[in-house]
Amino acid sequence: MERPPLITKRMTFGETSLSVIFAALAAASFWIALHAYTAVYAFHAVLFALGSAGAVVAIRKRYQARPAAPAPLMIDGRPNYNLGPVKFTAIAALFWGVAGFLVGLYLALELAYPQFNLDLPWINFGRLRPLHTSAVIFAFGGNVLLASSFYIMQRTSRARIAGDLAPWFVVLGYNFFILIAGTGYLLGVTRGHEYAEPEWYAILWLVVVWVVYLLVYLFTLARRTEPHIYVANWFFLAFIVTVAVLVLGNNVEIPVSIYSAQSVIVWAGVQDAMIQWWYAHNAVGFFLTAGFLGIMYYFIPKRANRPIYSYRLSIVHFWSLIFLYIWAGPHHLHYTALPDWAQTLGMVFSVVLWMPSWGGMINGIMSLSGAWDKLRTDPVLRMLVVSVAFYGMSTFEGPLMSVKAVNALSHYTDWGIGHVHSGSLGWVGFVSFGALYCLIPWVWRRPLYSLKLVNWHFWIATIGIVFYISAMWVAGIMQGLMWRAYTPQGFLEYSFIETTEALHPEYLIRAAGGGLFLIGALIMVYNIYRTIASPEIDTAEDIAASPQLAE
Amino acid sequence: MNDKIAEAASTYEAWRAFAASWGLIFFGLIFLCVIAYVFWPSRRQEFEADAQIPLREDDDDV
Amino acid sequence: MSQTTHHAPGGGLQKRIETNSILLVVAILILVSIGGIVEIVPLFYIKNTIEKVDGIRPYSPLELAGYNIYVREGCYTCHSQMIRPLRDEVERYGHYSLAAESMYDHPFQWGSKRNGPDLARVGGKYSNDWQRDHLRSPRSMVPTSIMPGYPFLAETPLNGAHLAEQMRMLRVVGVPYTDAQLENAAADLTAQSAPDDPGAAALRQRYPNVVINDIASKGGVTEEDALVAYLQHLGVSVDFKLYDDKANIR
Repeated sequence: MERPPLITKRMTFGETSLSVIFAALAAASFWIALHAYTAVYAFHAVLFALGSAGAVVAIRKRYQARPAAPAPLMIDGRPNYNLGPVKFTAIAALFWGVAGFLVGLYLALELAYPQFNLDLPWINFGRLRPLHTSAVIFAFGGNVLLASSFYIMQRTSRARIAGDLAPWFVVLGYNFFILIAGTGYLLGVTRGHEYAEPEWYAILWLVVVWVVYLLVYLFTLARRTEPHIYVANWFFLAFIVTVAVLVLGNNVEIPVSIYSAQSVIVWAGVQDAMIQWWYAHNAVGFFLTAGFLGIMYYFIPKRANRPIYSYRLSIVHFWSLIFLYIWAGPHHLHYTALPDWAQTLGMVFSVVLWMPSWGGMINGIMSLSGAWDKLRTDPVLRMLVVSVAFYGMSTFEGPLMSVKAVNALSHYTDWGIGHVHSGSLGWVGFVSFGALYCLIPWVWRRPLYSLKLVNWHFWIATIGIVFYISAMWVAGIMQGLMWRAYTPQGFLEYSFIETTEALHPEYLIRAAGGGLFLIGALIMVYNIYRTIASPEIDTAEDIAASPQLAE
Repeated sequence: MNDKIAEAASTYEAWRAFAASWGLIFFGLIFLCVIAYVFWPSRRQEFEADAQIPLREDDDDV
Repeated sequence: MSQTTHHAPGGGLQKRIETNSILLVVAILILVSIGGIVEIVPLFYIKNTIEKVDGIRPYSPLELAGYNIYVREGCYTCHSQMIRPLRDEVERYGHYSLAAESMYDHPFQWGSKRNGPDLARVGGKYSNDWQRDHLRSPRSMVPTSIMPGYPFLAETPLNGAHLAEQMRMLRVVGVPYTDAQLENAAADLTAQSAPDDPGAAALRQRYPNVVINDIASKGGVTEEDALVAYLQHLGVSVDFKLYDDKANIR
């Protein structure tokens, strides 16, 4: 006979209330689907209804399967870390990464050979580009940030993550947002703001998810047994808080109707432009920089097994970076109808921003001082350190391009695309890969399948990046110069289409570079698959020592 | 028309002058305070202990 | 929620911030707000941010429908609508863009990358026929163009059922649509798509300088009609022979 449970099993307040909320959301979504103005919006409403209904079922099933007592915070005096959401987002990051890189490659081919557009609406360049940017930034990058922040917040607090359903709500809810946004782009739902295309209902959902994310973070920190909040967490908090401010500021909009996917943004023209680039530049600053600096400040010391070069520098780095970054947006609007005073502010702060950026770079790279040999033996650490080197390169190039005289040439050209990709492939991509190569063996408690494959990934992707950015430098500077070239008689020398034709070889090299980067990522997926498929190991030493083991 | 130009220009110049003098001094001082705080010798030990947070956790498990 | 029992008391602001997550969040919020406030708020108050200039009117219903399609297809990912005051740009595309010219664009369409040319003043540069042929098959008009083809626009009937609602919302956010413009949205849409429509005079009166499509598609108004109407309106509102740029110096 079974022993009677010590605690009567019943649904928690969270389980009950969330079930009720989701049931109501399912009904409301179903109602909206019936009255939607467009088929796409009806489709999205159905997705919301199905997702909500699925959530109700999932909560119920989870309740039936779980023990009566809540998960213990500590087991045998050690924190009982909740790694399920970390695992989910780590895998989601790999999936979205490959998808996003693939779409990027396809876009590169569309620019080289426009026939790839196939004259179809769903895959034309204008609809696919937001899919690519969102997939790599928000889907890939976002899941990497979720995985690493949920891991780091627990480890550096030495406490189990706060909430039972809340962390799952954040990771599943965030990926549901990605699904709505991505399918929307393909089907023609967009707000028409770069890097901020999702429509009002997707944003509304995102805001709820984001607030819960912040609360989970704060409540986990409140549980910490470590008196100080480690610097990586400050960067994550700056990322979460500022992205919330940015998204709210750039999404002040009124839906045309509750039954319409379309909204009307309150801002117009020059103010809309300023707010958009305040948003977009700081999406780079706080999503792609601050968040990933949080990753750097944890994973490089951890992997190199030595503390950060200068904790004091990291404090200066943090406060000056977040203060200065926010001003730099207007450098995207040089020589436009934005008033000159705003352009000047944007330029000055962009140049000053170079300093904290390099402070951070020095801090990351110098953490290896005394252990430089590890760069040779551990390709994961090499990936992390090279990512910081790319960060240093892009954050030098950025201030340079924000100088008005340089920007007059570089703006509207592929130089901008090259700059973005040296940052995104080199910095964000490599630091993410490095973090995942650390994180996945640690949370699955298995040694990494092959360091040799990491080495292959590193070199193939590095060559890909070099192809990509050098092709775009040449393309951008060439086109910029051609646009302003005059004949001796004082006429414009080239028609626009002649400058486009000239870019074809560079576009092919760029596609090749992107292809190499994708191949590297596929190697990684195979390596991770083999890692997770291998049997679990027991002792701490084995995993910590895995770089040496596999070599 | 000239009045308008002059007015716009003087507003801009006034703000610019303010930002480039008092603004600069203000933020410069704040920055110096931060630097002084962070690099004050007696705080060295504390910050070095903080830097060990990710490494110390190795006692826990994995 | 911010405090645990392990803190040593006191120890300066940095330490308190470092050990108190709420203080940390508040400090971050304050610091990141300064730059945005200084750069954004004045744009709504400084009078000469948007030039005073005659001729700019809200989009007609057909143009607005075209604008929606322009946004939907992501045209802004390859075409800017912002001519910079640089010698080559002004010679290539026309007078540099004014802030006023996009003051009714919710959202703005300045763009950031020119995979194709700037479109800020493309209105009237080409005939309606050229625009249609070019949209259906760009390479039939420009052999080495890398633009995607949009033949499906000519085959898709325009759904204008909710344009009036959108116009009403635009009025809420500051676009000066008149009651007459809102009430006659449906009639104006048809009037602009057929040359011999009886509503043409009323349309012209409500929307000065409106270009009436010279090809009425057989099966009703298509998305292509709308997009062409929008493109033909780009950059034509301001008469730069009369525009005094010294008056709007910023």
